[in-house]
Amino acid sequence: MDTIVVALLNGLIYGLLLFMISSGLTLIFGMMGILNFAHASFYMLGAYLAFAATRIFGFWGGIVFGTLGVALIGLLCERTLLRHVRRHGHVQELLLTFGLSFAFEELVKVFFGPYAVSYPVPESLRFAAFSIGAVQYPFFRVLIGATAIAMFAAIFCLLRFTRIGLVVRAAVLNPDMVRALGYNVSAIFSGMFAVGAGLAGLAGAMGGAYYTTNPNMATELGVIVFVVVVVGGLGSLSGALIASLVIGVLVNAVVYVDTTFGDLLAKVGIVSAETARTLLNVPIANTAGVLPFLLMLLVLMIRPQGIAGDERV
Amino acid sequence: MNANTLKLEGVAKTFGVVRVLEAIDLDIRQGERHALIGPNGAGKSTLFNLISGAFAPTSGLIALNGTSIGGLVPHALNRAGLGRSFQITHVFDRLTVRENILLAVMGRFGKRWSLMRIGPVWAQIAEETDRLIAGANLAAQAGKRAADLAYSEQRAVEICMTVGTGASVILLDEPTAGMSREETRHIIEFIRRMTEGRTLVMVEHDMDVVFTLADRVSVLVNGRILVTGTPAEIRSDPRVREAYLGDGEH
Repeated sequence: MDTIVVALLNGLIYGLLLFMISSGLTLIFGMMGILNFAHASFYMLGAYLAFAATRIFGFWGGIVFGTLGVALIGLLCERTLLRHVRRHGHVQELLLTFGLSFAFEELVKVFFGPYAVSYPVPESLRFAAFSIGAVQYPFFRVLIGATAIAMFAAIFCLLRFTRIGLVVRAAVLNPDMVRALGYNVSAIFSGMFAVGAGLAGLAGAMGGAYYTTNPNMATELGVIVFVVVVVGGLGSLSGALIASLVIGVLVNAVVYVDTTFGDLLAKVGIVSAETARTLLNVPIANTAGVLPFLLMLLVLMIRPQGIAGDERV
Repeated sequence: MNANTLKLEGVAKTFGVVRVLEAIDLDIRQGERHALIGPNGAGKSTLFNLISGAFAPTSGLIALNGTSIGGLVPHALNRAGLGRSFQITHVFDRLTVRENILLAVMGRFGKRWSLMRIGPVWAQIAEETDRLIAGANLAAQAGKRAADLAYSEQRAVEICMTVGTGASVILLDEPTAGMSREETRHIIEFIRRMTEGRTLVMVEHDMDVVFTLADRVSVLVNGRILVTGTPAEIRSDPRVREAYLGDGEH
């Protein structure tokens, strides 16, 4: 029982981390129609910038530096690169951001080497927040989850209750009309891009410390983040939250399922016990890596616009 | 202020090898309601798009209140005093009527980037927003999402927004398109009221609308202004009859 609770909690926290990254991606897509392939690279850059800054500013300073640094990098990418290819269409944007993701990965390798760097959670933060049975649940994990929830609340309130949030929502719905009303939409877009990148940077700075900080972290997470955004509905913040949590919990929980496909099918009576023991002796836990894609396939078949996406997409 | 609020001099537009507009000269006087008419393909939409900044003219000058606005980006155009509506309704369908109009009024008071609502200006903004809503008879609908409004009400909201930005020159692209007779009569009255004291330029197909609302009419044929005059002059002009009215289609 305890193991299940811990697995669910782990899944929840992982899901919240996924959300921190995918929220920026989905906001940027929703507003500007840019599918940013380099978004997961912002996550990686956040981890590395924080790692580099920790030596100078300490752990917390590193996290702040990672967040703001990546927001600045995002802003520069938008203003100096993306802006100029936008009028040529989505393919050019995709190619550019795809190239950027390679460039960032190689740059990181040049400066920090091809292997994982040692960017640990400081000793002072390694204590248990609470214990479930015999399991001590680490405080930093809880902190990652709490940060993500606080972030969601902050973005939600900003969009919902402030006047600038009203402008942003309007710009998502109809940028042409917002322009016609005298608003500088391209400045709004740059700001949103920077915020989205900064959020991924924050996720990287925290996630990199807890999990690992290596040059592959962008590639590893990038695909899952895209799955989250597609499942949740392109452009939908609440959809991204639901999808992140579902994927996080599924992937973590399925590892604890102690049965094989053969057993399952044999029980239903589709295959013989013999086949179950031999050919189909595949543990269901092995599907952890496939599940997000299976979920995406299902969602695309049943509800192509995603859980909370609208029909425009 | 300059007597000619909006002035076009030798404005031409070429797409590839196609010359859509050639040497358009147009003087829109301050406070007048000016309609642009012409058969399909005459270049009305192109001219509208040039004035509203969708694209820059190939040659020629477009001036608003004496300053050139040719090639300005849309948000700069609005700040220069030019408000526009779209042919297809461009209200923010998932925002409330009040929020829609608020967005326009906020811009006019220079509150485009506000996180907090501090200071007396917000009271003014709210007051002006309510005044526009009341003027459009939308007070009962103010809290509804724009998507839930009838089509003619959506157009009214859009006109409120265009006026709400404080623009001195209002450009309307077929404001009565897709409306019933009854709705059209209503919106004409509404446009007349809302644009009081402002300059209005509109592209319109419906001749009844044009002749009821416009002070002057310019007829565009084959990328040229054929004639500009009062509705009575246009009605009786034989060239216009031949080029446009006589074909019995409109």
